[in-house]
Order: sequence, then structure tokens, then C-alpha cells
Amino acid sequence: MANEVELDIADFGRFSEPAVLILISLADSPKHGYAMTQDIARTFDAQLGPGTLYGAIARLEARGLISAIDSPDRRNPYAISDLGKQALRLRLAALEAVARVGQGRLASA
Amino acid sequence: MSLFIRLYPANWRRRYGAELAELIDAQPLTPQLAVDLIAGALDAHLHPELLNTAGLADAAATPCLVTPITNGASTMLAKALNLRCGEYRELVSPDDRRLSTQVNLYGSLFLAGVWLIALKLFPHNAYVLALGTMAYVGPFTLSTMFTSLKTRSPETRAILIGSTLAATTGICVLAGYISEL
Repeated sequence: MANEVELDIADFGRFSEPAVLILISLADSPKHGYAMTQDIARTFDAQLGPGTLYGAIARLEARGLISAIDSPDRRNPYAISDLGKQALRLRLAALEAVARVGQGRLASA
Repeated sequence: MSLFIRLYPANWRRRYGAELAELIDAQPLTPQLAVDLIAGALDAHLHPELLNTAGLADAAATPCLVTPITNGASTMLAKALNLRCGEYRELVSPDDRRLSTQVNLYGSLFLAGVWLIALKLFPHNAYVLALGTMAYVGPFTLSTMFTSLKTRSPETRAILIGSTLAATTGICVLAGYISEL
């Protein structure tokens, strides 16, 4: 079982939200940087700049949440690791809880 | 466009440069893109430890010195005190963490004492009141030489720490001046 610090994407600061989007983008298949930005723009209508994207990728790699796949191409595809899936599940559950409480309070307002 | 890539540290360029260049070339140069890349380059310089991928991933499973403090919901205090070693645990030894904590705690206590004496001597002085913030900011900034700035050269550390201290002191003095108006 991974420790709490390892799985805590929230402490990525301004890279926290991009990191979640990247993990979601990689959840179904490995992708390289350009494909990730396209997928994120199409799915979430969010534009990740290259500096932000690679700042988040470096943090995710350093935690072992994603890994680069060797490629003859100069573009390295990235794949989500088991640890990354675990971290994403935890983060999505936390966001879901926030959304549930928010919706509940709005409904009772 | 390659100018922006050159802003990144050499090891960062070796690792991500080609991918980053391809992504940059795929879009038109806009002010937002320029700001994003400059901020990204600054971040890369401030976090050289991120490229020690394997070591950090392994080290993440190793309990750090302050795990009882950083676990659970009390992480904010630990972060504020610079105790958390999550992002640079491989490069920062227990001695460095101890030094950082000592600089933070003893430095803050000492400067808070000096500030209280100054308050006693000049009870209604807006500048003295505003400079009270430096009792925490000063030691914290200095302590980064043992943690996030540890891998930087002495000159870079001196410039970063000196300019941060000068800027924060300037802001405090400005706040005092505004209060006096």
C-alpha cells in the first residue's frame, strides 16, 4: 500500500489540476504530450500550455504515477502506473465528495 | 521559439526538450504561451530534484523524518514550517532538515523578540508594526538554502535569498508608509 504523501496530488500546487487532467487522459491509453493536450482540450475544454504540461508531467514522473515508454520517435508516450491509478481514484473520490456536499447545500438553499 | 527552450536548465532540456519543442512548434506564439513557458522554466530551475525520477519514486516509500507531522490533515502547518520533505527528500539529508527547522524556529523566536522590544520602544510606529512579518519570512527564506535551494550554486542562492529578503522588506516598509499616510 502506497503511503499518503506519495498519492497526494493535491500538494502539486498550481500543477495539481493539470496533473489530474493528465492522469485522466492517460487512464484509457498511453499518450505523448501533444496527444494529451488535444485530448484534454477536446474532453474538458481546457488548454494546457507546454510549460504547465511538462511541469505536471515531471512531478507525476517523479512520484512514479506515470512513466515514459521508450519510443524511436522523439515524442515519448507516457503511461499511467498502478500507483497513478490509485492516486487518481483517491483524487476523484475527494472531488466527488466536494461536489456532493456542494450540490446538497445548493439544493437546500 | 527555441529561445524559450534555452530558458530551461540543461538537464531538463535533455529530458523534455525535444517533446517541449514539438509542442511549442505546434501552436502560434502568443503572450499566454510566452508567460506559460517562462513560468515553466522558472519552476524547472526552482525544482531540480524533479528530474531524479527513480530515486524520488523509491524514496517516496521511505518514511521521512517528519512523517507523523505530515500525515493526515495537519500538512499545512508542516509545509508552512518547511518540515515536509516530500519534493526534495532525496537531496535533503536529515542534517539539512534539522538545520532548516532550527533556522526557522530559532530565527523566528529571536526576531520576534527583537520585534517585541522594538514595539515597546516605538509603540505606535507603523513601520515597526509592518516589519513584524519579517520575523517569520526572514528565517523561512534563509532556511531554503538547506532545502529547495540546496542544489543551487552559492551565488544563485545569495541572489535568490538576498532579492527575496530585499523585496519582502521593501513591501513591509511600503505597507508602513501607506499606514502612515
